[in-house]
Amino acid sequence: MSEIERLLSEFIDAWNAGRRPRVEDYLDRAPADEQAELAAQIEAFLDIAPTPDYSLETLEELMREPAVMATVEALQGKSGLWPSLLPRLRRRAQLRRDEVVEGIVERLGIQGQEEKAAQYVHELEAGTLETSGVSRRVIEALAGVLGASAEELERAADFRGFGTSGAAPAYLRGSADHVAAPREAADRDELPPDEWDEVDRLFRGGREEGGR
Amino acid sequence: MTAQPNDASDRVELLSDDELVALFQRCSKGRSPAERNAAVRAWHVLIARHQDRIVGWVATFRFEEGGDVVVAPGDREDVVQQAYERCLAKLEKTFRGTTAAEFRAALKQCVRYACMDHCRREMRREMGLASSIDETVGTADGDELGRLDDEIARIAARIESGRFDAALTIDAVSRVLGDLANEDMKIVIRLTMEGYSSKEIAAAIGKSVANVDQLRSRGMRELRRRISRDE
Repeated sequence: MSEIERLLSEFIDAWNAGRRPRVEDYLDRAPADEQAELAAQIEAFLDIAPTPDYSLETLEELMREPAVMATVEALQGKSGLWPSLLPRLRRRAQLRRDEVVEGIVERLGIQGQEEKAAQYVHELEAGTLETSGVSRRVIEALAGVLGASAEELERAADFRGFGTSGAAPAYLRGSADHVAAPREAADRDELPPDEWDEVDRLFRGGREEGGR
Repeated sequence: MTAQPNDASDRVELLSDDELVALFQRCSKGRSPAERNAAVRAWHVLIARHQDRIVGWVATFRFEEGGDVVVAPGDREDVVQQAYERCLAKLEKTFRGTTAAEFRAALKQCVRYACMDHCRREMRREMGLASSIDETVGTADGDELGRLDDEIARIAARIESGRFDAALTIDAVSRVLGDLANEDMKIVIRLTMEGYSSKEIAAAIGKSVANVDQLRSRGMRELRRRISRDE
């Protein structure tokens, strides 16, 4: 029996038993010139593999995985796919959130408003701010800082999920809403549009707001 | 068993993948908080159950058109998340499937796009090309093409011709399993898909574990070869 036949079978048995085998552990054990073939066979298995009968404990562990949680928050937030996309692009660009804020403040020419801009960016990542209110200038500034395209950000912003029409779901309430309303944000939200400042208009006034 | 929205507050974890997909599709169109809660919870359980499969697909991905470029271990979490974003967009815009198999095939398609996007970006970086890194393979919903350079135009053509179409993949898997000429292999693959271990299969069909391992490996190779040919 060849090494990759044995490794594939070991992987399959571990998968079917719900032991959550890591693909790389098996590829690493294969001879270098057979790793691609083993990868192809594991991929073929994953295409048809049954979903393991995970224990409740394992399932809960999987449900807490960051990538899984991010999509759930995106699904029920108000900010389209941004709660998933923005932190991911930030990681890819190796930037902290304050560095992103610094970058967009500079691009938008709103120096001195870092704190307020930071709160808005925070709400966008948390899924508590309507993306339909975000101006194109902010989208372009974010795209520039994060090394993405404005189109990609706009498409992600347009994702509706369940947070923007009808009643918002209560499932996992607290995961996104715990950051929803610091006092200043709540006060700010009650301001009528004619009392908004430039930063409010840029983040809440709609795509065409803040144009120059 | 017919899943009802109220199941969400109880034990959605006990539903099958097919039931979860059906629950999500039905409740995601609803307007009430109860229905929406049910849809979100169904989605949560469904993708949690598929998380390891997705991570595995990313780890086994080979960008053949780019000389077998792979997704580096440190980048896999990022690519998995990108795949989820694509999947959510697809669910909202184009996915009409009602079965776990259709969901899985759509998920696979999103993973492939996310992996190709990533590998292309990395290739560009390594090759020192000055072009923007923001071009993507397909749109977020994976059904249209974005701006593409010459390097991946061939891939784009295949995507347009439906190479990665989810329905085709499902059909191909069913057909291949049905068409396997070797009866022992067919039995081994079917029992493997039902979750049996190699020892259990060996005992059931009266062969050695080594024989079962060999049939599994040959079966996966055959499956992959035939699906590639069909695509």
